Formats: sequence, structure tokens, C-alpha cells
Amino acid sequence: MNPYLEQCQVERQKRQTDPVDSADQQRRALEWQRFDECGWPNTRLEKWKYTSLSSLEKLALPTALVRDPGFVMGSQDFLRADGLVISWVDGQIDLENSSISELPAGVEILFWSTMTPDERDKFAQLLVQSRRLSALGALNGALLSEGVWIRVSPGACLEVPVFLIHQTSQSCAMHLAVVVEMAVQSQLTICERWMSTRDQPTHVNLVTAFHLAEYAQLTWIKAQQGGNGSYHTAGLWAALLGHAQLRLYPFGLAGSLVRHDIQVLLQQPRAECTIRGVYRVCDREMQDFHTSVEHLAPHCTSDECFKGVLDGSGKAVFNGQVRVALDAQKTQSQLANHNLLLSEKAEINTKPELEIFADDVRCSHGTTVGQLDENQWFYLRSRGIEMETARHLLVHAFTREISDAIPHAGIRDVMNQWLGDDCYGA
Amino acid sequence: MNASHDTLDDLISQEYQHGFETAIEADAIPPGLSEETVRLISARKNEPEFLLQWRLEAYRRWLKMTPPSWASVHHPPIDYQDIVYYSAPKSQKDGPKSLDEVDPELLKTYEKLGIPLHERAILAGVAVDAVFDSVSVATTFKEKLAEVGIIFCSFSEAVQHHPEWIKQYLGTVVPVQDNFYAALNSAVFSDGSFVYIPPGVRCPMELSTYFRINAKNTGQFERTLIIADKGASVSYLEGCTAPMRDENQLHAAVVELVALEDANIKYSTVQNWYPGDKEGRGGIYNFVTKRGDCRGARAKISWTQVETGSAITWKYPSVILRGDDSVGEFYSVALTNHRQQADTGTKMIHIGKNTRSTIVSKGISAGFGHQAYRGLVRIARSARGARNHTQCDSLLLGDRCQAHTYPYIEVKNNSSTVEHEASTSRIGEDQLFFCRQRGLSAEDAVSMIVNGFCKEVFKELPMEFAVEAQKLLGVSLEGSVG
Repeated sequence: MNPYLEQCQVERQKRQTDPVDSADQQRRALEWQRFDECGWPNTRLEKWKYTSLSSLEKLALPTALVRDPGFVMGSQDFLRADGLVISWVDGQIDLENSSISELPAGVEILFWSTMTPDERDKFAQLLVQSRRLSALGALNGALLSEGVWIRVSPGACLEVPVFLIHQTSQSCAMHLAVVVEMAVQSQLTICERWMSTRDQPTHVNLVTAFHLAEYAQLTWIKAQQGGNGSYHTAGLWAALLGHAQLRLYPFGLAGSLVRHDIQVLLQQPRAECTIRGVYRVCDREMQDFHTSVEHLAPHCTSDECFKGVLDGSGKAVFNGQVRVALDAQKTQSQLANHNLLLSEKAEINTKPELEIFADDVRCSHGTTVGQLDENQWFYLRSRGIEMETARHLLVHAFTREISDAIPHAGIRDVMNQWLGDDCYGA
Repeated sequence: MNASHDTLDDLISQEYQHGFETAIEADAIPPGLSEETVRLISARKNEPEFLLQWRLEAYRRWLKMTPPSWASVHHPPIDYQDIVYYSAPKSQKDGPKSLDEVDPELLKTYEKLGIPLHERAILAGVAVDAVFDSVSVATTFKEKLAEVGIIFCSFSEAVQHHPEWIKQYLGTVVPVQDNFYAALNSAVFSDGSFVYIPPGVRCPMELSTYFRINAKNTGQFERTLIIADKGASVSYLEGCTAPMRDENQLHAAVVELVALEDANIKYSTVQNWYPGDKEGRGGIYNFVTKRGDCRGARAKISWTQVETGSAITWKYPSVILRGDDSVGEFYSVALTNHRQQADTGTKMIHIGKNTRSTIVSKGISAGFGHQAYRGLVRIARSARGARNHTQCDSLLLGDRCQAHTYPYIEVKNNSSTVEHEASTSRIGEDQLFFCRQRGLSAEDAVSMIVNGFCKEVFKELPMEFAVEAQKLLGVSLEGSVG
């Protein structure tokens, strides 16, 4: 057993002594058993072929119970847009800096720590599929420390986004869960931000589940801005009923190792899914996106595009899968992945996969790996723009295509700005 | 499904009723694989000691390996102890005596493909000597080749007469431990072809196994080695378009190509082994390892394949681009109809500077056909200025077929450019309508559209092959429309 898991064992013991409900204890025990069966991910497994967790397994990270007194909150100046803010520090709710005392009609927010046993049971049910995405999902089930459950009632359309702002004050591990339940014809925008104000080893192990009923619309934006030594592993599972629309905008901007497993099920006709993502790596950083969109019913559409910028000795992995089930006719699906390699040591491993079991479909995917266009480069240089600025402009323009697609103007502006910040700066 | 197609299928499967029985003859060793079998094969073939040791090494490695399970194909486990690993070239006594005894429907297929009469006899397994004087044809060819110093003979002959080449090159492209089937082949390979083109020689004709008379009954574990020395150039054809009669269900061949400086090898395959009947009974398992190695600068290896036969195809012709400025190409058309399964693709490993590769893969899936493109493009850190373009398209005919794409792209170099595109769709209603409106039957229209879809690959085939391949596609798709 590696140091990371040894620490996990210690955390388990701690939790077992807490006076909590027995059903929860039982669930945790089962999940731990399941994790044991799956084993710690290694590069011999197809899904982890290019991503090694060997540096994480050497870290014994405790769960933080008390915030480091010397911690200064990161600047929240990006919150130019109005919204409901849920602030987290070290994986615990920080109500002081949150603004959820008065919720608009039609929204309900529950936290794991204050749920009743029945609610916890329901919460765990909603997360079953998310936790199946990888072995780390099972680990999350065994060690869950906090979670949030957002419920939007039928027809409720929230004008303002919900912000989930995560910060860390010390070296620690966090096992967190997010569930969003969207009732019929409801609308919501969620913006998640993960930031580290200092460089220290942290591990966030997150599971997320989105349940969208008929005609529901959910937009989710995630900005990942971890510091040196930050590990982030996330499983996101979404199920869409008829005519539901899901838009995902994951931005992997910084972090030592970031892994996303995203699975979207289009379960009923005319469900729609759009994914627009960016990953950006520089020296000794790693970003890994495994996405899977499953067309289970006819007339569904999916459109996915990821752009990657790789600098220094950074490494990225993209595995985009589209599955079209038997009889999911009239499916339309597009998948694109474009990568810019800026340095000699950067590395990209990409695999766009198509698995098609129906015939009346239009599916395509395209992948490119290349450098900055010499003509564009020349254009800027010949107009007297210095090298660094020209490079900056071109890279920014390359990724901006993704952030420009964000529907919410306030968040779009902030994201554009972050993409403009240099990889090493800011 | 039209009625005539059903009968055709019935008749073809009848033809194969006595196909897979392996009657043990006097000069065959009993089924089963052991070190003893390997020694026996080697002894019967009068092989030098180094080759025996090489076979044994492969056998020992094979024992420790397990069959690959990652391919998206399904078949019952193969009993490797139930295979006869050596039998002397069969006499023709269990085959039909003349064309009159051959299934008329099979002959009809040959006719549609436009195969000359005497060739039909060979294909149907009729004893050829009386019908077709292939010996003389082969001899003329051999003389012509010898004039320029080309060695083109069976593998066993090469072992006897040119052991130095075998010793130097065998297993250097596909090592014995490469994969389960390659190891098996290395231990028990029966025969195959050997080609050596001397420096600076451009081979005066297309070399083809089809014309080499001793290519008959090379058995199920074929081994081919082609060496193109500096500045040499050769085009090699394997297989033929007509459905081949074959006794063995499992085929595990290995093909190794070595291209030295400025050499050029073009390897074309048309594979049309028996695909099994409509319900997926019988049919050949074709598990092949093909790999080329561009060892010198400016070398070029090009694979072209048309895969329409076999119940299961598991095949990834690859190129290792070691020499600077070397070029790799892969053009493929794979068709799966009824219950056929194909997991095929290529690997392009870029190591040298300014290496270039092109991949064009066209998959057609009909009926319950199951098809996967599985490819790897790897650009090593040393491959500065490398370039790859990949295009893989799938065409679906029928609502129960499958088409999958698994392209692995690994790039470790910022001066290289890699592009990959793939699409999957069915034949457009508007395209069909356009053709029907101009008086073409549904089947002709589909055949025409499919051929258009594959044109990019067909144009890479040698001319006569291309014409045959086009017809073959039409015949193979019969009954999948309408």
C-alpha cells in the first residue's frame, strides 16, 4: 500500500469513530471495498496509459479540519457578475464569505454536513454513476468529506449564476461531491473556480452528477487554476432527458496534475450537449481529459471541441469518445481537438474515438497537432510587433475561440482575461 | 435480401462443408503444439541449427503469452492443440477433379469478377498441372529476374540457398516476442516468400505470390521477408481477388519489409478469404502482423490493402520511419458484410527527421458487419519536421452494422504537424436518388457510390488489381441493399 492510501486508511478510522448514521458507514465500507477491487490506477490500464499518479501516491495528505490561521483569502475581484457565491476553504464550506442566505425562488441548496440520513441516502444514489467513472470515484465514496446538492424546481430560471469558489490554505486532501438536479424547464448557470494561492501539495478528488429533466438547461463553467503541487481528479457524469440542453466549459489553466473523466448520456430524443474546453500546460504540468458522450436515443446532437496549448515540458492527454447506440438514428455528432505545441519538450497524446452501432448518423471528428502559423506570425512581426507579444496574441486568439462561446457575458469576460494571462505569469 | 443472394450464400457454404476438415495424411504430424512439434517441423524442412534455435526461442516466449483481448472482435477461444502444424503439400486428391465438379455458383462469382478460365480452376482448387502450364510461366519470370540479380523464391528455398540473408534479417522487423500471433508464427511458420532486390535495381515486373507456383499450400502460418537494398525498388502483390478455397481456419502470417537507403517497397494486398456464411458460421480468422522498416534515409514503404474476406481480420500493417526523410503510406479499404468482423489499421512510428506518412482508411460496414479502425501515429522527440495526415471514413449500410474508430496520436515534438480526420455516415438519400433517377438500379447505384468512396485507395493499386478490386466490392456487397 502506498503512502497516499495509508493516509486514507487513517482518515477512514477517524471517520468511523464519528457518531454518524450507520447507513452512511455501510456505504463507505462498500465503496472502500470497491476501490480495493479496482486498485490504484496505474499506466498498465488503458484509461491511465499516459497518466501516471506515481507522484501523488507518495504524498500522505490528511484531511484538513481547521483552516491555517495565516491564510489570506484570494482576491474575489473577478466576481464582477452578480451571483450566489458558495465559498470553500480546504474543502469545507466557508459561510462567512458565501452569499446564500437568501436564495431566489425555485432553488434549494443542501450541504452534506447538515443533511438528514434520508437525504444522504438519496444524495449517494444520485452519485452512483459518477463514482463508477474511475477507481478514484470509489475512493471518493469511502472518504467523502463535504458535498453540495443544488435543486432547481420546475420552470425556475435563474438569472444569476451560482459560483463555487474553492481555495486551499494548507497541504491536504479533499473528497468532495456536487449534485445538480434540474427539474422540467428549469435553467441554471454554474461557475466553478479552483484556485491555490500558494504552492503546496493538495489533492482534490471530486465527483459531480448532473440530472437534467425534460427541457432543462444547464451551463457549467469550470476554471482550474491550481498551483505547483496541486492534484485534481474529477469525475463528471450527466444524464439528459428529452430536449434537455447541457453546455460544459472546462478550462484547465494550471495545476501539477489534472484529470477529468466526463461522461454525458443523452437518454431521450432531442437532448443536446455542447462541450468546449481548453487545456494549457507549462513546465512539469499535466492535463488529462477523458470525455465520453453516449447517444442512447434518436435525434440527439453533440458538439465537442477541445483546444490545447502545450509549453515547457508540459504534457496533455485527450481522449474523446462518442458512442452511438443501436437505433440512435439521426444522431449528429462532432468532435474536434486542436493542439499547439510551443516547446521542444511538450507532449500530447490524443485519441478521438467513435463507436457507432446505428447507420443513419452523421458523425465526424478531427484532430490536429501543430505550431503557430508562420504566415500569421510573419504578419504580426512585419508590423513591428515584438516576438513575445506576437506569440501571446496568437495563442490567446487560439484559445479565445472557446471562451467566446460562453453565454454569460460576465463570466466570458473573466475567462477571456484569464486565457490572456501568461501561463507562467498571473 | 433477395432470393438469388440467399441461394448463392447457401451454395457457397455448401462448398465449404468439407473445407475445414484436416484429414491426417501420411506425411503430416498429429495435431498439437509442443517443443517436439517445432523440432519436427524444422527437421522436415532440413533447416540450419540457427533457425531451429530461433523457432524454439519463439515457442518458449509464446508459451508465456496470452492472446490479445483488446481488439473489438469476438470469437470462441482457439484450441491451439487442435491444429495440425505441419503437413507436406497436399496432393489434390480431396479437391475437385475438374471445373465440372465445382459449385456452379462459385464459378458464376468468378465470371462476374472476370477471371480467366484457367485461373478459375486454380482458385477452385482443381489440380492445375493439366489445365494451366504455370511452371513455364514461372520459369520465364524467374530467368528474367535472375538476370538483374533479384532473388524471388519460397522461404524454404531461401533458407537452403541464402541462409545468410535469413540470418541477418529474419525477425529484425517483427521480433519473435512482438505479439502472441507473431510468436506462434515464428515458432511454426510453414512457408512463404522471400525477395531480395540488389542495390540500385528497379524490379522489372510486379512480383506476385499468385504467379509463384510454389506459393500454393503455404499453409496457415505464412512468413514473408522482403529486402530492398540501397536504391532498389519493388512492387509486390499478395493474394488475389477471387474467393480462395482454403483448408485452415486460423491464419497467422508475418510479413517483414526492410527498405535500406533510397529503397522503395510497395506492398499491395487483396484479401478475400472465405468470410463464413450469412449467420457467421465458419470463415477464416486472419490474424496478421505486417511491418515495414525504413532503415535508410529517403526510403519509402507503401501498404495498400483491400480486405473483403475472412470472418475476422486482425491486421495492422505498420511502418517504422527510422531513416531521415523516409516516407510511409497506408491505403486501406475494408469491407465487412453479414457477420464479418474487422479490426484493422496501421502504425506509423516517426523516428527520423522530416519523415512523412499518409494514412487513408475507408471502411464499409453492411449487414451485421463489425468494423474498427485502430491506428497509431507516434512522433518521437527525434523526428524533427515530421508530418502525418490521416483520414479515415466509414460508410454504413444497414442499421445493424457497426463502425468504430480508435486513432492513437502521440506527439513529442513541436516541429511536427499531425492531422487526423474521420467521418461516419451512410449513403446519402440524395446521392441514391440522383443515380436512381438516371436509371441505375439500386444495387448498381450503391456499388457506384461505394466505389467512388474507395477511389482514393484503388488508385494506389496496380492497374489490373484496381479493376478487379472494384468488381470484387460490387460482388461482396450483393444483397446488402434493396
